[in-house]
Amino acid sequence: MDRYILRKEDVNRWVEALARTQEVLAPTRVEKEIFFAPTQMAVDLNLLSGTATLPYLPAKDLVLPHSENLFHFTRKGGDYELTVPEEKKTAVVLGIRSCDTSGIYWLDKFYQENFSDCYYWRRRNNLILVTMACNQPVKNCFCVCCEGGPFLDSERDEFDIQLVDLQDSYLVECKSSKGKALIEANPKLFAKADPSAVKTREALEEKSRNSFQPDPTSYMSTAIRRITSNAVTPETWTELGEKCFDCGGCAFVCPCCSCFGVGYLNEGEKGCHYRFWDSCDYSGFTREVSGHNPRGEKGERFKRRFFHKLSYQYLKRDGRIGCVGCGRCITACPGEVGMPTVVERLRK
Amino acid sequence: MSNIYLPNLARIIKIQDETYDTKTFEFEFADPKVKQAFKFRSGQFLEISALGVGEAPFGLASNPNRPETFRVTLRAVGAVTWALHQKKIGDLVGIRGPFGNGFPFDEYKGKNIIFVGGGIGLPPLRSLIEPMLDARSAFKDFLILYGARTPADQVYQDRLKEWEKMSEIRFGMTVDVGDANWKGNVGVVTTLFPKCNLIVENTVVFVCGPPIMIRFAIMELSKLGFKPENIVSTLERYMKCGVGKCGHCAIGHKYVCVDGPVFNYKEIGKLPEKS
Amino acid sequence: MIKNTPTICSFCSCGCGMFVRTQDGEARGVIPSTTHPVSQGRLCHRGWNRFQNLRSVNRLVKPLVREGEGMKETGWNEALKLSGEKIKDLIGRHGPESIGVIGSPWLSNEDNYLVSLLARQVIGTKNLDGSYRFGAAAALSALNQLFGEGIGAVGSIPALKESPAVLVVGRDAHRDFSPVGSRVVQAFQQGAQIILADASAAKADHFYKTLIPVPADRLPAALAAKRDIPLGVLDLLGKPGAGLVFVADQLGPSASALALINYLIERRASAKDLPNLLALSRSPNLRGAWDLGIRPPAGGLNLEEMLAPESKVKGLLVFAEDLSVHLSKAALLEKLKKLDFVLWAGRFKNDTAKLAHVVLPLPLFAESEGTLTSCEGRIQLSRPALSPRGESRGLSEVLPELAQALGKSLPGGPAAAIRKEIGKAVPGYEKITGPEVESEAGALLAPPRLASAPPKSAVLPVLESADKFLLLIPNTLYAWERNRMIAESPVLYIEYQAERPALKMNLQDAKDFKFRPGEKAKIRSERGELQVALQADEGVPRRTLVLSSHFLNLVESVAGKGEIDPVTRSVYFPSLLVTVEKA
Repeated sequence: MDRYILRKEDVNRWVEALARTQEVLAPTRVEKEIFFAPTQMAVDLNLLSGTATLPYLPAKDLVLPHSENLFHFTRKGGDYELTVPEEKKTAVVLGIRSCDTSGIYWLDKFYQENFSDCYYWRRRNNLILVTMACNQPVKNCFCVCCEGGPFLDSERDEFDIQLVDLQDSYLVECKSSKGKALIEANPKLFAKADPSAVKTREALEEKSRNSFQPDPTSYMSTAIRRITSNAVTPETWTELGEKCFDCGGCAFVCPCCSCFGVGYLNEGEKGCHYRFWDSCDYSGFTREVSGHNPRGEKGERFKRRFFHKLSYQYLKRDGRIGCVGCGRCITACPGEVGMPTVVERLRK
Repeated sequence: MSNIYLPNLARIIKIQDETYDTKTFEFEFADPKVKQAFKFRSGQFLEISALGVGEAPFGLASNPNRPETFRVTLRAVGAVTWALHQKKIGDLVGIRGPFGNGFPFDEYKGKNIIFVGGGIGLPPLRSLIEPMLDARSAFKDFLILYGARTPADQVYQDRLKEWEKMSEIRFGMTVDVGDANWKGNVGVVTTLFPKCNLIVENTVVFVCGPPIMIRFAIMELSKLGFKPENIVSTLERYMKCGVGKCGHCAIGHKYVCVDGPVFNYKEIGKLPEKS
Repeated sequence: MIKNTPTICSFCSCGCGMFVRTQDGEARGVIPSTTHPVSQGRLCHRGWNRFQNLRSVNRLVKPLVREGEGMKETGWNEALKLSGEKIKDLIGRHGPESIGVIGSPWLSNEDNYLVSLLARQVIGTKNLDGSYRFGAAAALSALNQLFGEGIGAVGSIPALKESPAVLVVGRDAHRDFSPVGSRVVQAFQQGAQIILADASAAKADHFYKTLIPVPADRLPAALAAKRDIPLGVLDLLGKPGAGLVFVADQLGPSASALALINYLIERRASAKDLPNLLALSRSPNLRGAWDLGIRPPAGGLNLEEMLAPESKVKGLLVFAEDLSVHLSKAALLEKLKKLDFVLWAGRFKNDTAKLAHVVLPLPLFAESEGTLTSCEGRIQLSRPALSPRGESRGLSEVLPELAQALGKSLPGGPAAAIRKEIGKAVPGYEKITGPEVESEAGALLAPPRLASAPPKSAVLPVLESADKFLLLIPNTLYAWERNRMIAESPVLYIEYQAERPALKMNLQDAKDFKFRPGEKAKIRSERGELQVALQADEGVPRRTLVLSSHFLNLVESVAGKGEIDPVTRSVYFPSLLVTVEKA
């Protein structure tokens, strides 16, 4: 791994250099919301700082968009022609947070096991992630309980580049060859980092980890144990389910959730099959054509979603829990039963 | 990287009416290269699409030893199956697959075999029965039991007659309710159990049919001493992608489309949800 | 590159702020607005899946005219010319009152305003109405009786969170409208007492303090008798900020709605603090359509009267209302089929379009600009994220051309110009002309002002019986499964299954009667009897039966002709006592 220093005043020149050969997606304010938008020159440095600022949508939207066309078909006599839409753009995602990056790695594992999903991978392979570490978490953050942040682990984690906010400059930790190529875009902007910068980085991470409020979610491991050993009563799940509105918001904003549905359009001579985010909270998610629904009860669906995310079996299967502690489910849930509320309830 | 969501086109080459709402379709891939490369295992399924209308999973019902063409049997119950039922010989459909774990054929060699099929549960079992009959000598006692609601609800009636006549297998048939011409057994399929001398030792039983039939069959089989790990079935769930990604068929940490649909009852017992 | 268009959801009357995301002219997704006062970063499953119906292939894309048994595609000029001729012909032979005009809570304020001008000024008919005649007209009339013609901003969704007590009428008012339900949960978490009044709920969720098992039409009598409510809670309902939440589509008759709303108003501790009244609807612009006058002035016929067998109406101009599913009586549909001329303007192919002589394609909310008035009385701007599909055109272009074909004129122009006219003409809508409407939180109508005390009217008594069953006939005309935008979305279509024409009965009651699957029941009231399939349901309380109102023939068999609401002048079916036996 190489370490450099990039002065904040040089960031826009770096972006300019990068934008010559690929798209640069940086956090941008659009009508008070934060989106990842293509940037050619000027990056909003307020959104690229140590204070955690999250776009409403998780970065999974870049690899698994809310909806995408799988293929178009055209009828030609008695025959069909199927075409798959192109997707070739390479992009640098500048300023993605550790929780989102951890979410992407989670999706990477899922989207290549058993069968590899080429729609996912052709976007993913063209993305280079420049993670912005969080020196200062904000209200809903609990990544520290879920191994989702606030910094990526420089030793254990594989990543392209991690930026650490050192006030007037960034520490640039570069670990992959893709990351190295980004440095090469304008190498003069990058000075080799000295050991004191590394010490500052370690101190910042320590301080960040300690600045999370004593939080219900530090009881994450208790919740996981309880779920796995079936110690949670059906009444608890029913009670929690009563607050759930089946809106699907938690699954859509979660960096680790990946379920999708498929839609079909038929306009006479042509049509399209497309996929879109779906949620296991929906009552029709498991309903079979006969009308039989194995998860017809809301409490059952609610339980299954948390079982899936937190249970030890999930841990056994995929290596870590399906939550990175980004806190988006707290924002998105009308019933106030996001992850921390549930974890606290399960602990009791 | 191959595109797991892009179907290959296959033409309908034969349509057989089985019952008033069930048809068997025989398909052949339009592209000769795809046809040449196509192979499947018993118990696997295909995702068949009526383009622009929808896609659904269907168990393969033909012999994997002869994969140049392949058959599925489907009942018209929803938008996709209705659209497929309207199609004619020569029409094209989309095919993705084969998916699923399939039956571990070689594990059954040297054992006694019992098939218990109910109604439209026979088609996926047939994809295992036929290759087993091709290799009959690899198996010991061979018993097929089939039950349907009425004689008109039986599928594969021609093949049933042939099985009845085969000397190398034992065969029993029953209907819940007979008709004027029915001379055979009347009663649910479990009523055949005491009449057919089921051998418990070193036997694997394959059960497939409507949920209520499966439930009673398992009950009776357990009473007779069959162990759950020797009773095998195919689980049904609402499926969309067939490749373990969309999440619809997940039960606990298993995906029915990847870890199944073939499960034995010991595994099913460990699943956190009743089907 | 993805384009994010800030706009308002167009499913229900909550009016959540959201962004519709599009790329290459296709709708790709949505996200809620985090700063909008109603959505606050949250949407319900309809809002989250809104983009799917924008891709529907069942859109009307060209004008159609009837040809024999079928419809033929044609151009706008021909369609409008033909419509003009037919309308002029009917006016010439039978007078302007032979034409009826139907506006819609699925049209923007600007469009509804032009529809009302078309009726009053261009055609000169007083027969103007919307399909809410059979539902929300009851509650809206009650609000008019209390607050005058300018109902104003009677409710606030954000403020509901601070209520000391909330009376929720019908579990759907909380469950089906998540911004409201969310504030109810938050209020509960802050110590508020929440009361649920619902005769069709077997049990109440844990955050309800009390469940009053009385149907909405008989609730005022129950409240007056102080049944089932702890006294302290009744007092809290008089405190400032106390809330009343109900689904206006389902609350009738108007006497019951009036008595219910007035119950909180009368009990208020402080004269200047009116209760928080949220009249919810499964349509996006119920308030706008009503406030802008889509109802008959004195001497005019309402929708039910227009389609009465003996009415003088011979032609009907229907704008964005799927009348074939939104009528209260089977006989009305029969009359609709026999009219001399039906013009239908809308977005999707449906059964009403099949009955029409001329069909005009309209753009969806996401394809045009227009304001919507939410249940709170918040006027908000819905912005286009896509171009109109095919050859669909907005009413602001089409109606002036139709007026021309009739030899008259109508103001048209961009939506902002029409808003200026509305601001001058509609009481309480002055703010619609200003820039506030385009801001994120929209423009709230003026605060409500109580008119003189409303007349006391007789309320329906609570029904008690030792041996009979209570038959509920919920008004399901605006149920989601009858909504085209739901049907055109693959996810939502699965979520809202069509109901079977059956009577719902408590599971244990069905077992006690020894009803076997498929067996029919015979139920008898003092007005009629019915043999009907049963559907056992654990969620239905004991000794209660539920029969959805849209099974018109079944309902009329057991409930007869129903009752006429003297205020709305339309039929409603009150809850009844029935005997039950095996058929």
